Order: sequence, then C-alpha cells, then structure tokens
Amino acid sequence: MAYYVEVKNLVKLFRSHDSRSSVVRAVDGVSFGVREGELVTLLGPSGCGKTTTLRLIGGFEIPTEGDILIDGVRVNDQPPNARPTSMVFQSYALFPHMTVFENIAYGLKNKRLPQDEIKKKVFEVLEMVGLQGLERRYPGQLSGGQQQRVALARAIVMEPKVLLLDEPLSNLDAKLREQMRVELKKLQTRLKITSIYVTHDQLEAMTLSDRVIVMKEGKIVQMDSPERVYRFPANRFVAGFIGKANFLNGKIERLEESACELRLVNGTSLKADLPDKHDFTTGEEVLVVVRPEGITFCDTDKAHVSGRVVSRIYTGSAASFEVETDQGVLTVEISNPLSLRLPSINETVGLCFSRTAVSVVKTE
Amino acid sequence: MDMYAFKQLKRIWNEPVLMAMIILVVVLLIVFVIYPITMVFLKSLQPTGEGFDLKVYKDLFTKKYFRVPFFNSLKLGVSVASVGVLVGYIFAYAITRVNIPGKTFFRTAASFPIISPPFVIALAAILLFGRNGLITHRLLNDRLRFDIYGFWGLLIVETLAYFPTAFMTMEGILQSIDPALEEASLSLKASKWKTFWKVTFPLSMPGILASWLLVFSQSMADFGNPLILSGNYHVLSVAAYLEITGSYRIPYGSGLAILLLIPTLIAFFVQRYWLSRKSYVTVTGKPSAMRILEPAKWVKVLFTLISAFMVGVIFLFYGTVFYGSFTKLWGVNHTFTLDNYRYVFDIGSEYLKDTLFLAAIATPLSGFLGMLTAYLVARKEFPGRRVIEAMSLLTFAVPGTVVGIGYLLAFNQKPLMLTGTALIIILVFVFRHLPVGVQNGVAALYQIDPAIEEASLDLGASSYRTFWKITMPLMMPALFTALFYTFVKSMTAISAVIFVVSGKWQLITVAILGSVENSDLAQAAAYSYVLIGFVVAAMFLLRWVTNIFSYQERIRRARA
Repeated sequence: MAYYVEVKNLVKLFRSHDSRSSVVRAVDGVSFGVREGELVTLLGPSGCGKTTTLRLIGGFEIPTEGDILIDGVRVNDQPPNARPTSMVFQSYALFPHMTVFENIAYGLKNKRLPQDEIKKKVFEVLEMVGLQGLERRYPGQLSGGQQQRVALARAIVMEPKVLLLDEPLSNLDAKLREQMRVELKKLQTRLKITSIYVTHDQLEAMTLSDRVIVMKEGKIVQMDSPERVYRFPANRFVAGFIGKANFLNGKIERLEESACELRLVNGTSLKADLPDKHDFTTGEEVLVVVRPEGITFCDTDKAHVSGRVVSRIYTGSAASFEVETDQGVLTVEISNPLSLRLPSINETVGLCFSRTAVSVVKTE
Repeated sequence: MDMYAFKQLKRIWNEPVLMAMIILVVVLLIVFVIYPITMVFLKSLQPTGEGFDLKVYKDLFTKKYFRVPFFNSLKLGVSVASVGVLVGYIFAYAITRVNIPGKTFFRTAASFPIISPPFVIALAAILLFGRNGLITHRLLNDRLRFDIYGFWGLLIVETLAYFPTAFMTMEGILQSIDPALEEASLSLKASKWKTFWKVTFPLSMPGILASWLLVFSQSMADFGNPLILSGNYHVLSVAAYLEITGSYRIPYGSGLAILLLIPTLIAFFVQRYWLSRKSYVTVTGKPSAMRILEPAKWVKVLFTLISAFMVGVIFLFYGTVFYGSFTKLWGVNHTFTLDNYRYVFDIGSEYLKDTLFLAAIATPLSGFLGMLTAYLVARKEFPGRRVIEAMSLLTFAVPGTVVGIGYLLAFNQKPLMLTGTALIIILVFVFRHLPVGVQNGVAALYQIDPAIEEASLDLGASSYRTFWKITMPLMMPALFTALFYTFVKSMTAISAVIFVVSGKWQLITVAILGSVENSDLAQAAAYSYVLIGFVVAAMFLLRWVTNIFSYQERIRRARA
C-alpha cells in the first residue's frame, strides 16, 4: 500500500549556537511513511529531532537534504501557507487579538470561502470540540483546556490532508490531559484525518497511535505498532524509554524460528520470544529485558532469580518492590496487591518471569 | 555563499513583496544612515578638498585649541555618568526595594527630563544661578562666587537631565532580580547590609555598567546644554558646530565630529553586544508581583528624603522656567505679564507651524519604517539581517552633531540636492529616531510567540497578510510608543537639525536658542512651555489612541 505522507532521507542541520563552525544534526537521515487515515507518533526525549521533523513537514524549516511528499506531491519548496497541512502548536499560538470565532474562521477566510459557509463550518467544529457558546470570547478569557480545543478546532476546520500535532497536551494538567487524550483519539478515529503526533510522553504515544516512531539523536530507532514496540523493543534505549524495564545479562543457548532459550549469568535458563526479523546468533551475549509487571513472587527453588527485598511501596492499585539479587536490583510490580500475601523488607524471595514479559536486546 | 544562505535566498525569491521590503529598507539605511556618516569621515581626510591625508587629525592632536575640547568632553562624560548612575541607582533602589511612599509620583517626576526639550534644565540653571539668577543674585546678593557657566554648571544640568535614563534602566534590572534571592541570603543569616553587597549589588552590576555607558554617551553627545551653558569650557559637540558654522573649516569640524563619534560608538557596542550577554537576569517581560522586605524605618526615611530632594530640584527647575515665562525681564522686572506667550503665538507662530508640520510628517514615516525593519530583523531569515539591525540602531550611538554634519555634507550635491528643503529636516527626524521604533518593535516581537505567526502561515495566509492581520495588531503598543517618541523628540530636537535648518523652514528649538542668545530668557521660557504643552498634549493623545486601538484594551472592555 502506498504511503500518503512520505519522508525520504530527511536531514536538517542547525548552526550550533556556541561555535560558528560546528553544526548540530537535529534530524539525521529520517525516512518513514504514513498511510491515509493513520495516526503516527514521533516519540522521543527532548532534543531527539521529533519536533524539527514535524516542523519540516509543516514547512516551518527548510530541509538541508531529503524530500517530503504529501499525496504524491513533493512539497519541499512550498511555504507553510501553500502546504495541505495544519498544525496544532504546543503553545496553541492562538491569536490573542481575535475572538474564538475569528481564530477559527481565520484560515477559512484565507481560503476565500463565502461568509455563510465560514459561519457554518466554524459552528460545526465548535460543536465537535464542545465549545458552543464561547465563540465571542478572547483566548485570554478561556481555560487551558478550552484554549487547547480552540487550537485543535482551528486546525481541523481547514480539513487538512495531514494534521500535525506538536505536543498538544503538554501544557495541560494530568487529569485534563488524560481526558483530552481520549477525546482526541475519538475525534481522530471519527474524522479519519491522517495525523502526525509529536510527544515525549510514552503513555500518550501508546494510547493514541496506530504506529509509534521512536527517535533518538536525530535518528529513528524503531517504528512499529505500540504493542510490538513494547513487546519487542529494538534496543536498550527503547526498552528503557517505553515502560519500565529490568536488564539482566544472559546468553543465547539455542535459537528457534522466533524464540530462543536463554541462560542467565546465575545458570538458570528460560525461554523468550523474538521478533520475526532479528539477527541474533547462537552463543551471543545479550541483555535480557524483563518488564516489572511480568514478575511474580515464587518459591526460591523454582525461581529464575532470588534475592532480598530492600524496598516496598504501596500505591493502592499496585505495589512495587525492589529486590537485591546477584544480577543487580530488580523492580517488581504487583497489580491487585490485596489478593496476595506480600513479602516484607529483608525477606528472601524468589522471582519468576512470565514469558510474555521477557525480551532480548543487543548488549551494544 | 554556503548552501544555507542560498536556500534562504531562494525562499525569499518566492515572496516578491518581502523581497521588495528588504531591498527598500537596505537602500534607505545605506543612503540615509551610512552614507552621511561616511561623508563626515571622508571630509575629515580632505583638508584642502583634494586628495586624502591625515593633516586634520595631526592638528587635532597637537594643537591645544583642538585637544582641549576632546578631554573636556571625556571628563564631563565620565563625571556625569558616575554621578548620574549613583543618583539613578539610589532612586531605583528606593522605588523597587525600599517601598518609599508615593512611588508613582516619584517615577512620573523623574521622567520629566526625558521628554522635555533638552535645554529647559540649562535655561532653569541660568534663571536660578546666572548673573541675574534668583538664587545667586536675589537670594544671596552675589555673595556666593559661583559661575554656572562651565564644568560645574554642566555637571549639575546634565546629571539632572540624564539620571532618569539610568534610573529607568536600573529599575528594570532591580525589578527582575527575584526577591527570593535576597530572602535566601537573609535566611542564610546574612545581614541586610551584607545581602545588599553580596547579592543585590553584584546582580545589578551589568545594569549599572550599561546605564553608565548610556549616560556617558548622552553627555558626550549633548549639544543643547553646552551650547548655552559651557562658557569657556569647550566641548566637542559645540566645538564641531562652531568650526563649521562659525569658521567654515568643514574638514576640522568633521574631524572633531569623528573624535566625538568614536567613544560613543565604543560605548554603544560594548553596552549592546558585550554587556547584554553578561547579564545574569533574564527579563521575562512580566515582572513578578513584587514582594518587598520591609526595611528599617531610618532606611526608609533616608531614601525618601534623598528621592524627595532630587524631585524637589526637578520641580524647582521646571517651576522656575514656568515662573520666568510670566515675567517682564528676568532678574530686573518680575511683574506678571502674558506678553511672552503673546509673542510666541504671534511672531513665533511660523516656528510653531513649521515644527508641527515637519514633525507630523516625520512621525508616521519613522514609526512604520521602524516596525517594518523590526519585523524583518526579528522574524525573517535572510543573509545580512544582523547587519540591517546594526545599521538601523546606529543613529542611537551617533551623536546628533555628527548626523547633522553628515546630512549637511551628503545632501548638498547632486544627485541628492536637499539642502534648504523641508525634506532634509524630515529625513533627519525619521532616521534619527528610527532606532526607538526598531528596538521597541523587536522587543514586542520577541514577546509574541513566533508560533502565532507560523499558525497564520499554516492556515493559508501569505507572509504579507500575516503581517497585516496578525503581527501589526500585536505590535500596536510598540508602534504607538515609537510614534510618541519620534514626535516628541522631533519637536524638541536641536543637535542634528541645527545644521540643516534654513530660512524657509524654522524650528521652535532654534527660536529658543535665539532668545537665549539675545538674553531674552523670559521669552525662551515661554517658548519652552509652549513646547512642553505640545509634548503633554501628545502624551494624552497617545493614551487615548492606545485605548481605542490596542487589542488588550478591547479585551478588557469585552470582559467588563
């Protein structure tokens, strides 16, 4: 299937601020595609080049190298006002001197639509985002959540071919962010707008996206569905960045088609699944990734690893433990803790890993 | 040219309106800022009118007659800057940190000297301390042997005129120092005295240096006050003027102007490009709600007294001029009369009309050109934009005398033969006050999130439309300030325009000078107050217009 948005070998160099000669490779050879109607997230820590990539697609930066195609048309030389994209800005960038109505109508006026059609569309989208009755307010008179909705409405009223969202929820408090995340997802599914979403919040990326693109230092490190990114992280960075992870040293004893048998340093062996495509070899030293929620307490003779409990934090819906083992300190998370007898500090415990919580990455 | 610059150019090429604007601004700046100053420099290298040599500079440094003004100016500049900064700092500290009563009153009073005609204070000094002075002659019966004409008179007058600049700069700096830092120091058991010297003072150091350089440049460049008050104490700006208009030795006048230009340029660039990076405080544009640690009672009393004294002196000076404008003959006959004002509105009405007309044309031109330049510099990426910014700010640093001589030399020949026209005066006004527009505009733009303009582009508006629909409305407050400043400064200017005025086009400030030279001080006082009247009227107009057009006001009304 052909991609709707295609980014080919994109490079963006910035002049370094502190010295004249050196350059920063903000985006360093990024290629990916987005299918029509799909929501793809660019995820990574700050400075990984995700926002720059988005701004290149929106036309706010000029690429040093590479091409950007939207619906088969190369848009590199088009200024933002000629591109079929609309952006929701992190700071919302609402026009402070215009009312909500004027803000949303602004783009439609630029398209030279007739007055009554503008009015109709603005009121439609106001209803869609739940802002009926606020059209005469100024942005300064709105709450953060309402401002966010105006920013969103202003972008989607343009019916863009591609909607670009630059950390749109990062200025909201935690509760509101969760609510907006759900609303955003519903809206996007209903309207089926092809969207590229930038965030550093892995939870946001996981809940919203059809596919996640994890970036680091200007490069793509992994591109996959949320489930697979979590289940089969491409390297240690991804495993640690998305969700929590324990790392243990191990060795591949035997390789099957998409699974393997591992031997840990302490001599115990366990089975682990591998992604369809991989380049592990028998006998290779690897890092074994174990998700904390996939560890249970069990008898020490049956356990993969044993150790002593050094800390215990109870949060109501879950409890988390730190266990000191000969493989280092491991984190264990128990959901529904009231149903179990929980070990106390200094107690010696055995830890069993469930197969779905274990994956393998290169040692690097 | 590297690839990056090439790509920027390629983008601009696609936007012809933008391209045309950039070219327009560059051409204007080169012709009306760079070219005149270059002419002053070239002229100083042509003592005989043919060929280039350094004879002028050799004379300037070897002949006592030329050397004295240079060192006099430096000495005066250093003294005024030091005293002015000290007074300004005390004033700023009193208002931001001591919580003296009547802060608004003190702040307003301190801004008088900034917006009033430059030599009103000098005029007041003569009225008070001159040969027929109210204090020296009337009160003390000439028992005090004090000559207001000379170094000490100039020091007093320029300190009063320029300490408000230092005050305003340092008020901003002190306000941006988080009081929590001082509270932290106190909680770590430092005394208030120690906290001041170890925390507050070091943090305000960049501001102190910046204001020092600013006041130093202002004193060096001052022309109006020394012209009527310097007596035998010759300074550069007046010496250059006299060389050109008195002795017609244009190369020597130009040479003196260059000597005046060098220290002010150095001060400007040090202040702007070096000191500004040294600053510890980041000015967020929104000073946080001030918490003030209530100081000891005696501290409060002391600071109130010092501030009251300074403001008292300001009132005494302005009050004396006001009083003087209603007297028959100062020092001799103090009977109340309206004759002086009658004269101003009768004989002087030509001066009034000309000044108003020229300033009214120059003001909008300067304001819009300033905003346009600020927009290009702050928001557009193109090769050489930093150079444009530096060029547009240059007249800030260049003393008016140098600008005036430059215009005199540059536009006295074909193809730009402008001498004697109204246009040359308007051009002086426009480009001399352009920096305020540029600087205010740039400051306003830096406070507007660039994403707002990107959003407009993203929603399909062109650069051009974005400028008019989004940027311009948001820059309105900055534009109004620039308009106000240009108008006031054009009305009250003297140093540059005195070289380009002609019989056909006359200015009030020139009339005031004439009255002072004829020893008709009462008439000069009446002129000054008419001028002050215009400034005050402009201020009210500014407030009214701002209320109508600024979007903040509209939002405030929408809320009510």
